[in-house]
Amino acid sequence: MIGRRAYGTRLAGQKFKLLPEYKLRCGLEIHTQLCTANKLFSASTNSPFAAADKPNYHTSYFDVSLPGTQPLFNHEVLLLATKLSIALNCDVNLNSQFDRKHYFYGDQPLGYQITQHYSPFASNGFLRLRSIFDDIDQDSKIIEIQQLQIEQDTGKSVYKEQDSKSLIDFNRSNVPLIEMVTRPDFTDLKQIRSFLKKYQNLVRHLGVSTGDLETGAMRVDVNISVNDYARVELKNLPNTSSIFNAIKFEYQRHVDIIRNGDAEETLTHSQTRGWNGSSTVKLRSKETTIDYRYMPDPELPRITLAEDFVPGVSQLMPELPDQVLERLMSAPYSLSLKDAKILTINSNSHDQLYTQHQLQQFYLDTFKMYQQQAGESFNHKLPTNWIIHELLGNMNKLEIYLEKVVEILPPEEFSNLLMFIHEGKVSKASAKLLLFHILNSFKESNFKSTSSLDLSSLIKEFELDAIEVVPQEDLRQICQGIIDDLGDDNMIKGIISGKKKNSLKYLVGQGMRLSQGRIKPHLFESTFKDILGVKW
Amino acid sequence: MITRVRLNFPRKLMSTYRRTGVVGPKFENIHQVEAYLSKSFWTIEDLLPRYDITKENIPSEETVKSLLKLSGLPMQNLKDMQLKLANQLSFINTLHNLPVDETIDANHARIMIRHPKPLSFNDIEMATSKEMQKDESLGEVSGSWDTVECSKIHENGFFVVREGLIRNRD
Repeated sequence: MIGRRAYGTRLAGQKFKLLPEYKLRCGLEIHTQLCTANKLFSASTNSPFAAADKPNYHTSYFDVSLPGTQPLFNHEVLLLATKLSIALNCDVNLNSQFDRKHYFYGDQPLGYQITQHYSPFASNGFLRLRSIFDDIDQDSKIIEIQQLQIEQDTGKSVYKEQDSKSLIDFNRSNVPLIEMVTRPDFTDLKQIRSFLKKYQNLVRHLGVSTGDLETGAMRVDVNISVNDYARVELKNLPNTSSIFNAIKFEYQRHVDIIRNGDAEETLTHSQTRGWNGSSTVKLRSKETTIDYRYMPDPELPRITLAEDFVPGVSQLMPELPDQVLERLMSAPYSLSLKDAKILTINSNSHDQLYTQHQLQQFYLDTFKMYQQQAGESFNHKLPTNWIIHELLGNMNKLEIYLEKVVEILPPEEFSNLLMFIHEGKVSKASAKLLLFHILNSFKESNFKSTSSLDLSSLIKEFELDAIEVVPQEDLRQICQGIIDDLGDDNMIKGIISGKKKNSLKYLVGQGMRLSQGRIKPHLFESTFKDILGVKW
Repeated sequence: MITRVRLNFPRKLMSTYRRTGVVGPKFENIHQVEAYLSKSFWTIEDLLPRYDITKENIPSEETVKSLLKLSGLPMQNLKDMQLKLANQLSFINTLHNLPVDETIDANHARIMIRHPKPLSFNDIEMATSKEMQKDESLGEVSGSWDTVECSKIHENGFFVVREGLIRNRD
């Protein structure tokens, strides 16, 4: 206990640092729930998270292991597993098989888990991390993928300590999982963080999983070794902070053991440890290793795939995220990495008003139309600013889903709005008001407003159009008012003498603000100069 | 390829399988069929030579303890357990000594077709849409049956496992 406290205190008090003489090596083992319609070996509904309030609702006889029932393989799993294998540059095994892994646990009443031990689905892949996209210290880092195997999830148990019992829900039982195992190629924490983000985005991008850590759709185990001593496998890491805190803690523990000269005694046999929120705790060691008695599952045929299968799935593959980023960051879009990521990197979709796919499509369609309308004078920043910044800002403020926005502002209408700004027919300030007004009134009509949008009429109605001709007398009155309100003689003198030329811009800015941008700045500039008798 | 087995599958059918086919008198009613199927025509002893337990093949008390620990079973009746295990081991040894066809790959040891036709891309696309159909007789329709009803102890729709089964098994 004293030892544990010491590690915890030190971690809390100091910034974590890898020490050059103690080399960290890590590998990851990630379980990913596939979002197929049905479960892996039955046709019951695969919805382990949504039905949390209805335990044992999506369960067939096989899912709860009733005697006499048999597995029937769901082939949809093959499509998803193959997509992920291709994206991870793996060799797909055209003749893989299911095996039984025997162990005894309350959430697995069959007495074994059906997995792929002897001949997994795919192997020998890699995922490349790049400093430009993935925030790692090296220019490029290849993480090799050892294998991908298909297996079933178990039921979920909730331990009630007070009553000394566990409640078991089999909604999750028999949900398809991919277990992905990397080689121990990670040498620092940044690489692990960026790999997890990249892998999570990849499974969401391919539509094979929600990839959410918080719901358990993605679960991460880490194996860690320091200076090539025996590896320790870290399990039960429910979220990103547990993953990294556990690695930091375990690294420190290894370093201390090696420093104290105890490595030969303590670190020569592999161990499995869990994370209790503040320290890692031993779960299993050499003496308590479980013999899983693997055997080929005699109730399932081998998965034999014809030569045309992988090429067939390849044709269904979308452009991969790194390729999308590269495309968006080059001409004609020329987006910054940050903006390109907003259109590409999927967050968890529970509390988001759009999917990345929807937003990207809206951006690309609008961009294309605006580019056609504006011709050679098009400004690539206009769609970016108005979609990624203004539109998303308004959507969040008004809580409107993108699919609703496109009902009133489809890409062609949005492109028209951009053209009004592009041609200077409305100022940016007026366009902001207009965009908010359109979305707000559509929301207030309960998204039922059927009248088609007429931007020109709206601009006229609200007098938002730029005023080309302003009576000189009116303009002089506005400018004189600004000078009087300012009451700063020093500034005025500076402007007249030419010592404070920039202050003239301040006055013009005040005029723009007053007229909400409807009067062109050059008109203000010439009027101020006229009133003040500026000679420069 | 795989047939789904319903819960009321007539298990006796399997145990009355005969190695040599015989054509007998015609069955007149279902009772005759049931009576026929419930009668055993062979025993394991017919197929296997007798096996004997000797002192040498009784597993040590230490081995039995280790196995009980791994299996999560209680440390009781060790002597009895040693004899039972010895009996089972002798049986397995006898099985191992029977002549078998060594040319068959153990990976294909399945009760189904051993070399299925490889699945093409089209096969899988078609199979996928077909598999979306749920079979109510297999309990695949969500909420169509009360899952926990058949268990002795349950709580608010959950199965209940008492602590000993999951925790503190060492």
